[in-house]
Amino acid sequence: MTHYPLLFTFRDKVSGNGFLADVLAHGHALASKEEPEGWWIESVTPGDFAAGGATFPEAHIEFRKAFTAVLFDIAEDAVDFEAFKAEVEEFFAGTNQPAQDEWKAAVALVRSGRITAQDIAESFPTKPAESPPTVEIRLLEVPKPNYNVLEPVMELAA
Amino acid sequence: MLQECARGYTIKRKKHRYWVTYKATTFRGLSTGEHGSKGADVQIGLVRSLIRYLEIDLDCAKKHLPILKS
Repeated sequence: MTHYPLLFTFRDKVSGNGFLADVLAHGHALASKEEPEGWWIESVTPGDFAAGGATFPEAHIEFRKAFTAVLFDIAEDAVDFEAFKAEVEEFFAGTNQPAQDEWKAAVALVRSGRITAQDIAESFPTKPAESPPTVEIRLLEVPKPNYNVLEPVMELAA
Repeated sequence: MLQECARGYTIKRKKHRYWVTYKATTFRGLSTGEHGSKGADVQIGLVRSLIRYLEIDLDCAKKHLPILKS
C-alpha cells in the first residue's frame, strides 16, 4: 500500500446557536491507495475523521464532507460562539499519532522522488511539508465580501 | 469490540456522526450510516482509524473483528 502525505485547506461558514462563524482550517491528512477497494483518506491533524472512495476525487469529496459534518455536530451542541470556538480548537488539537508517523515517512518518499504528485492526479499541486496545521475561528458579526475566498485544492506535502 | 477492548468508553450519537470517547480522547468521525457512508469497506476503514486514533489494542480488536486481519 502506498501512502501520500497531504495538506488541506478547508473553509466553512457554520451557523450555530445565535452566531455565524467562519472556520479556516489548514490540516494534514494521509491518503492511501488500496487495491481493489480504492482510495482512503485519513486525517492526521485534526486526527479523528476519515473517508474513502473508489477514486481519489470521490474520497476527497467524502473527506471534505466528513470534516464539515464534525463542525456541524460541534455547532449543534455549542451554546454560544465561545463554546463553539473552544470545541473546534480541542478538535484541532488532536493528532492521530500512527498516521502522523506514516505521514512523515511518506514525505521522505516524496522528497526522494519515489512518490510524485502525478501519482494522484495530473497537475496535482505540492506545498512544503513544514506548513503547520492551524485553525482560525472567527465570529462573523458583519459579513463582508472579502470573507469570500475560493477554497484551494488539496496539496501533496513535499 | 469497544466493550472488550476499550473499557470505559462512551459513545454519543450526534446529528451527523457518532462521537466515541476513550481515555479522554474523542473520535468524532464515526459515520451514522445515513450520510455518505457507502458500505462495509467504508465502515471498517473508519473503525481502523478509530482504533489508531484512540490507541485501542489492535490484537484485542482483531479478536472481535476478524476482518481487521486482512
